[in-house]
Formats: sequence, structure tokens, C-alpha cells
Amino acid sequence: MLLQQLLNGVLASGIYALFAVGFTMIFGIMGVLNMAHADLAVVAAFAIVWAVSAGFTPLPAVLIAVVATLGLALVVERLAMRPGRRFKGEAAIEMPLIATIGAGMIIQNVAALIFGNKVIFFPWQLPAFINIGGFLVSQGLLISAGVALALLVALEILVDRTSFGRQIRAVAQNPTAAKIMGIDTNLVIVATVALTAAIAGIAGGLVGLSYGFVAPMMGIPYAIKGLVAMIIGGVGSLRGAVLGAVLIGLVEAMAVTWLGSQVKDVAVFAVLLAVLAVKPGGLIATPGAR
Amino acid sequence: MTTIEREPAALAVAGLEIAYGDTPAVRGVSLSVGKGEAVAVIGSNGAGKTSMLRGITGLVAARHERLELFGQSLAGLATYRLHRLGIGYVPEGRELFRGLSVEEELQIGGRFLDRGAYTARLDEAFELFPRLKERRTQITRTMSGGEQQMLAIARTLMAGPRLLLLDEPSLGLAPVIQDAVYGTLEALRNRGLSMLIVEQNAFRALRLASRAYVLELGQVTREAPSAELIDDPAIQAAYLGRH
Repeated sequence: MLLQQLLNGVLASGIYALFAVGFTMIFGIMGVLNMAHADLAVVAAFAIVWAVSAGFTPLPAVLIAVVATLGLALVVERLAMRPGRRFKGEAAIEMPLIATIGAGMIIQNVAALIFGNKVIFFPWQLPAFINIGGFLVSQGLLISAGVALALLVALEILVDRTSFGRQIRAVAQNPTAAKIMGIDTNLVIVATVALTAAIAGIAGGLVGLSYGFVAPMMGIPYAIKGLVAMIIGGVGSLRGAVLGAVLIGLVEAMAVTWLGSQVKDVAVFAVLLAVLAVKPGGLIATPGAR
Repeated sequence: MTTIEREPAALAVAGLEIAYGDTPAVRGVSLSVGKGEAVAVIGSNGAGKTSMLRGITGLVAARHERLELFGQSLAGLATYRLHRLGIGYVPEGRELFRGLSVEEELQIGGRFLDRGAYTARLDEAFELFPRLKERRTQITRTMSGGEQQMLAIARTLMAGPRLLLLDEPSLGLAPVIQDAVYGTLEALRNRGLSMLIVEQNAFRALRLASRAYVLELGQVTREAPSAELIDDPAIQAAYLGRH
């Protein structure tokens, strides 16, 4: 029973990891949180719900979701985040924090206004459980974990090995030096926002596929898990964010097995406090983090 | 009829004004660097030397009547564009990227080159600074001050700049390391690279440069050939630590 739960916990952590790397990349490069980040998954999921109900076939539906998600992410960056860079000190952090919380609320409530503030069935579903070596595994979560793993490996290679990745790290570590070295910091930030938005959008689709339904407020628990995973892993570290996500998946599974599903979230926060007490910088501290 | 075309200066600055709030830092500075010329700006701490370079490169807001690189106006250009135009800026305190390796810093500097040109440039950089070749995989923040300064210069050279702006390249370095850094700068000057060097360590800068400006309280108070300034008792007393 426990092994069964742990296995599903690890598989569920794939989606958590996709949110966690988005939060950590945005924070790493801008030094601020995008509190509307997980709500981009809502945008993607509901764009698909709408497109399919309007009669689009899967490929155009996905394209519509991509355009809607990236477009909205860029609007949030331009209106709710970039103006913060005009300020110095605390205001530079607080302004985007509050503005993106507002942006998230707008996304949630517009989705609720259009589709109703309720759970909606996702048009594409993989809710079946399959038997692998005696373990019952959610087919959707298995596919989600596989997609997440592939994306995370690709992201690691992009950040670690490519010229664009070096520019992302350069802007994160020293924006002034990046400008001196000819890097258009605004462009790199916008590209990073688009990249993380795409990942959040895919995560939104995977949530729908795995659990069979979506809701206007579904971004909130994923935002919390993504942020906690980022902090547990060490802010600014991609691998740390993934490690934090897997840890959360495992802790949730153990809590459900031993203590019941109602203490799941409490257990996650207990682990967060424990990690911070022992390693205040998170499990993997990075020099690039601000 | 023939016209005599004067070659434009590598850098021409006129009427540069910078203020932080109500406090003026640079007040109407005009200076020029000829093609292939090394020019020094000397002055005490707080004279406005660093502000001047930050104003020229657009890192701080500045007003000016004229700001040209080889005759091309730089007015209104964002800092990141200057790199592509050929300005290599080695700022005060090196401003390296804390988490990148030596080679990654050099890759950032040379990212617009094709593979062949990049390799050739990398070889040149390692020839100028053999220490960097030994340390190519080292993370920059773990290196000594001298190595960091060498890397700051090397990554700038990767892009093949037409003008080098150097801010206090000897700051915080042991004399023997200063010798090495200035030895390299001399080699670059001898190859014809135009440079503007700002220094508190006036003696070294004056020996490198053929001409110099004295900056006091944000204003140019004197312009003369370096040799003249080195022999001037007033300059010696104020900037060269001789009494």
C-alpha cells in the first residue's frame, strides 16, 4: 500500500516540478515572484476546453492554448512585473508581487465568469489505472511524469549548454554586467517568461489529462506546491526545484497513507520548515540566486 | 578638387553632464580619444571618473552635446547596443558573473562569432592570459582578484572591440599583478587598440597613455601629454604620491 502510494506520489510530482522550475527561473532572472504563474495553467486548460467545445480539432486547440497562454504571460510581464524594475529596494520586489497576485485573481475570476466557478470535465482524459508489476498506476500521471521528465531534461540542457541558457544565467547573476556584455536583458527576461509560461501551460494540460477535470481556482494549490518545492530545493536551482517537487510528492503520499488525506498539506509545510531549519538556503544553494 | 578627410576620433565626448538627484557628479566634460591612442583620465576618489564612464556607456542617465564612436552618434542607445558597435567596457570591480566558469564568460563575450573566429579569438585570449587557460573550467568567483581582472579584460576582447574603456584596472591588485595587467594593456595599445583608461593609480595610467585629462570635482581641469603631467610637481604632489 505504501509503495503504491509512493509510486503515485513520485508520478504526481512531475507536474509539481514543472511549476517549481517556472517559479525558480522567473525568480532567478528577475529577483521577484510571479504569483500568477500557476494561473497560466488555468489559461491553457480552459483555452483547450473552449476550443474543443467550439469544434476545433486537437492540433488547432493546442495552438490556441499556446497563443493564449504565452500572450497572457507576456501581458502580465509587461504590466505587472516590468514596471517594478523602475523602483529601488523593497518596492522593486513588492510591486510585482502584489501586481501578479492581482493578475492571478483576474485570470481565476474571468475563467469563473466565463465557465462558471465549478469543476469542468477536460475534453481529453486518461483517467484509467493500469497494472504495472502488481502496482496500480494512473495512466495520466504516468504520461505526465514522462512528459515532465523529458521537459526538465531539455530545460536543463538549454540552460546549461546553450548560448541562450548562458545569457539567462548571466542576466540572473549580474544584470549590469550582462548589459555591458551586449545582452538585451529585457529580451532575455521576456523569452524566459515565455518559456516558463509554455511549461506552465503544458502542466495545465497534463492536470486535465491526469485528473480528468479542471477548475478556475486549480492554479492555487499548484502555486503553493511549486513555491514550496522551489524553496525546499534552493531558490534559483533547477535541480533543487525538481528535488523539492519529488520530496513533496513523497511526503504527500506518506501523509495520506499514514495520517489521512486531510493532513497532506500540513505535512508538506512541516517538511518545508524542517528543511529551512537545517538548510536555510534550501537543499541546493546556487550562487546565481539573489 | 580634393578634400582632406579627417579620420573621426575613436571616442568624442562633449558637454557630458551627470547628476544624482541634485548633486552634480560630472559637469560639462569634453574629451576625445584618437584612433589607436591610449588616453588616461586621472583624478582623486569621487572626482567623477567612474560616473563619467557609466554615463558614456548609458548605465546612468547623462546629458551631452556630443557622444560619438568613430563618428557614429551613440545618443540614446541602450547600454547593450554599445557592445555590438565595438565598445569594450571593463568596469570598476570587474563585474563578472558569479556562477559562470572562465570559459562561459569568454563564450558570452564571443557569442556573435562563428566557430572558426571564436576559436581563433579564444587562442589569442589564452595567449595574452595563460592563467585563464589553466583555469578554463573554474567558477569565476573563486579566482583571485588578479585573475578576475584578467578575465574581465579577456571576455571584453573576445568581441573584438574598437575602443576599450577601462575603469581602475589596478584597483585592489598586488603590484606584481598590476605589472602583469598593465603589461597586457601595453601590448594591446601597441597593436593599435584605442583605449580610455580611468585610474587613481595615476603613475601607471600616465605611463601607458600618451595623453591625459585631470578630472576634479566632475570637471576637466587640465589636458596635457602624459610626459608633461608626470614631470609636473603639482600633479606629482596631488596624484603621484611624491612630495
